[in-house]
Amino acid sequence: MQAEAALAKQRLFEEVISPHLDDAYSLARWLTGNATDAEDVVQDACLRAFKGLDGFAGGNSRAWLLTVVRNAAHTWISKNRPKTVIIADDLEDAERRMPDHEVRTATPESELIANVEAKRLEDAVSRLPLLFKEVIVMREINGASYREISEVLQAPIGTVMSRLARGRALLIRSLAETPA
Amino acid sequence: MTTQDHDDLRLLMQAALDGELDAAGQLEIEKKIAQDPTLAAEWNQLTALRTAIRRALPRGRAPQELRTRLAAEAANEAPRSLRLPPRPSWFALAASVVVSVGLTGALVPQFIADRTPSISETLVFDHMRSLLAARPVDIASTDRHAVKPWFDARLAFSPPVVDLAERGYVLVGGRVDVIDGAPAPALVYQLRNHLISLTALPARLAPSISATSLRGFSLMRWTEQDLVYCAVSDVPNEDLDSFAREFRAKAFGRGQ
Repeated sequence: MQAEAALAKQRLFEEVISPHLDDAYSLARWLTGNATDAEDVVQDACLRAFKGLDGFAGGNSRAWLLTVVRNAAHTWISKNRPKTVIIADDLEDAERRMPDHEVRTATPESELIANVEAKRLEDAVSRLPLLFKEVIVMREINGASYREISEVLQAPIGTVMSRLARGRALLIRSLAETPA
Repeated sequence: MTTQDHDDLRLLMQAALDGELDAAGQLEIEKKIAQDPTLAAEWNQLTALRTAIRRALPRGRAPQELRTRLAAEAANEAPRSLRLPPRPSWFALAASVVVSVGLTGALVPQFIADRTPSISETLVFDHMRSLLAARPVDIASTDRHAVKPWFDARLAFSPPVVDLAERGYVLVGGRVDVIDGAPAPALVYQLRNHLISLTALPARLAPSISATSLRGFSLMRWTEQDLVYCAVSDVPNEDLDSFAREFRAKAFGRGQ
């Protein structure tokens, strides 16, 4: 039995975790905001999985790994950056107060956006509210599909789309502002 | 146009940008964008943002040390405490280098890009993994009358199991793979020193599976009744073709 558990652990690493480790780390890196904490978060999530918690039950292995890493990152954030956590109610409230068309008051030239300095873009993504930031990172940096993101968030695809729309609108607006 | 319409179109523009629309939807939204300067301006901003992110924010790589540490943890049979090793942990690192040498051998599946492996890749990886395992089958038997009921007891469907020993393909047994999230029966035959895995899947998956060659293994497939059959092996393609011919002839009376 013990040998079987050991084999299961090894297969979990080789077939499910290792192929998507770069994605998992990138997501954790953006959500925690730094490399050291990102390593801790990914390691926590994987050790839990090795212990048989949050087990992989087949299906999309990348979506599974992103899910456990995102959960670990949220736990880390609520412990270490409690002020940045936006609970769902607040978010909906924020969405009501800030409809899409109002976000769109600034209309920077697309050339300005395309050529924005890497540092500025990185800052803009970092400053996004968590729930927008994570969909932007999963979509744009991990290259995840709507289906994968919706699986990770346990939310309908419509929610994925509206958060992406909002996140992108916020990014565009922040790039339009004069750099501080 | 009302604000509500506009917000709906904005959502559709996201889906168009992300390649999530079907061809008709894509055409429709492109038409709308072309007709509406406001939408067109926003579309240009969105594509510019996409360009900027692709250029400036590449996906990071997991530090090698993290990868090595996890590999060591995965290879460690005894349950260990969940405490993180102090960082940097040169001792753990030194110990895990040995392990990772073993793990990064040619047979460990490393997927090529940042995407989910296709069904074809999964089939090949399952075959590769079976070669690494202590034995390549879950039920070892050269007797087709033992293998078929074993599948029937476990799975909703199973392939015909045929005896091809006189043609050189000796039945080794059967195993259950997990493909596309569902268990799938695989027969294992041996030709000389090589194993051939023959996995049966629901025919609806046929369009997602293509004949392929990956890491020295070939995959060929055919559809028969409501199942698609996928044969994976490192034997030369001619041998894999003749295996398929022999199997179909014996199981379905085809091809000869």
